[in-house]
Parts: sequence; structure tokens; C-alpha cells
Amino acid sequence: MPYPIAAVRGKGSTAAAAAPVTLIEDTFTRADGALNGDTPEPTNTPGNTWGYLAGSTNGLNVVSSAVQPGTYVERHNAIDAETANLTVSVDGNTKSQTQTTTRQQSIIVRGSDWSNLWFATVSIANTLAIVEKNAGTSTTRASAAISYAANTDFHLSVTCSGESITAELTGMDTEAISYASASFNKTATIVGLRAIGQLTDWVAQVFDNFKVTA
Amino acid sequence: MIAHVLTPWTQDEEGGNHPLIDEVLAGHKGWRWTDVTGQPTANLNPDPNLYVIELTCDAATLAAVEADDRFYVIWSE
Repeated sequence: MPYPIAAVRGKGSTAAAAAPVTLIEDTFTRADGALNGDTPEPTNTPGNTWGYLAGSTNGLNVVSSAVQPGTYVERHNAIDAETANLTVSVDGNTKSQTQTTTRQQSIIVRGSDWSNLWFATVSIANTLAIVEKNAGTSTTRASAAISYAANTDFHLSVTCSGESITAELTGMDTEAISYASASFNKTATIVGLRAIGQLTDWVAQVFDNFKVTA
Repeated sequence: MIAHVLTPWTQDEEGGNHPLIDEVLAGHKGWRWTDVTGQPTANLNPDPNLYVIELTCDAATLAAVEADDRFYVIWSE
């Protein structure tokens, strides 16, 4: 008796896996101003706009066709990708640095509000980390050493699949870390960008070419 | 080398760095770790504030961790 077609494909199939589809792409090529309320361009399949996770309205700014934090300690903007299993990536530059303590650039995934989210973060403490922020408490779930440096380009991507979250960094060493028990907020669909620094050194960490695929 | 290490897990609200990273691993290269407790934050006991990480690093880095009595190396190989 012949096998059903579906069963045959499930074992030894040569059918190619579906290529990821770009859901959101924002090159920030527009006039300077607050990112909040902007529509991503050139691609915005979900049709949502940049906003805030409830609980914080300290946003990022579009400056010279890229995104910078502005003048505050911690900022973010977020957008609903309408799917929880996805890959989010961004290009970044660390720009100048005059202080050596808290300074981070991050991708937010699986956010529901400012107290409940995940982020992958590049830190001046020479680390790439995956952090779970649960009811306002942050817990690092994975981390690796990197060689953080000023005025350095990097590419950061985060992939969420079920209870697995993987972060990959190129540009300051090449590192990939993952956490396989990410059950918290695993159906949350809001993604975004986050930056943190100190007032004395709030010059210009930069993000560009934000992209969400699934 | 690979080791399982008992270490504090609570951080500041801004996702600041883990004490293990800040104070012991800083200055060392080539290490990585992941939480192997695998529990949601709500299930982690804050007192004592401990969870288990699997640390991959060189011998010198592991020696630095072992020498710090805030952390307990359960096993290494």
C-alpha cells in the first residue's frame, strides 16, 4: 500500500523549507523626530506603528536616517509583529563612550508591557546576554564574553521559536547564545529596540535597519 | 572546561549585569554560560537567591570563580 503523500514528505523529503518572510523592515529613512507613532518603511505587513510598551514612554528618536536614544537614562520603542515565533535583527554602532558602567543596546522580543518582556543586549560590560524581565525583575538566562569597543558596528539578531530564544552577534567577536526554557510570555508578540546609558554619556548609540522575519 | 555553578540571580530593574559577570568574569575572555535551572522567575526562590548556570570557560576563569566564596562550583570537568 503506498504511503500518503504527507507521510512521504515527512521522511526524506527534498522539498525546500519555506523561506522566511519579511514582516517588518524599517530603514528609518525619513525626517528627524520621535520614533513613536512612525510607520515602518519600506515593509510593514502587520500594519502597526511604533509605540511604547505600557509602563514607559521614554522613546527613541530618528536622527539622520537612524535611531538614537536622546537624553535620558533608558529608552525604548516597540511594535506589534503579531507573531511570537520570529527573528528580529538590527544593525548598530556603539558610538562614543566616556563612561564605563551601564551602557546597553538591545532587541526586545515577546513583550507585553514594560515589566514583562525578553531582551537580548549588548553591554559595555563586555557581554552579550539574554534577559527575562518578569514582573519587573530582570534575570539573565544566558551570557557570553564579547569585546565591546567604542565606534564599532555590529549586527544583532534574536530568534524566538517555541521555548527557545537565540541571540547572535557579529561585529564585536561572533557570538551566539541561547536559552531553551523560555516559557515566560512565549505567546507575546511585541518586539522593539532598547538603549540604556548614563546622562553624562548619552551621545549617540545608533540603531539602523530594523527587520522582523518569520 | 564546563562547570555547573550555584550563583545569585536577582538583578537591578534595568537588567544590569549579573554579579558573576561583573565581578568575577570581567577581564576574562572566551566564556559563556546559560541558566540550566530552567524555571520561570516566579518559581525561583529569592531567599536564598540562587540558581544554577552551566559555565563554559578556560581553566583560569574557572579558578577565579572557584576562589570567590559567593559562588559554589557544583561540578566541573
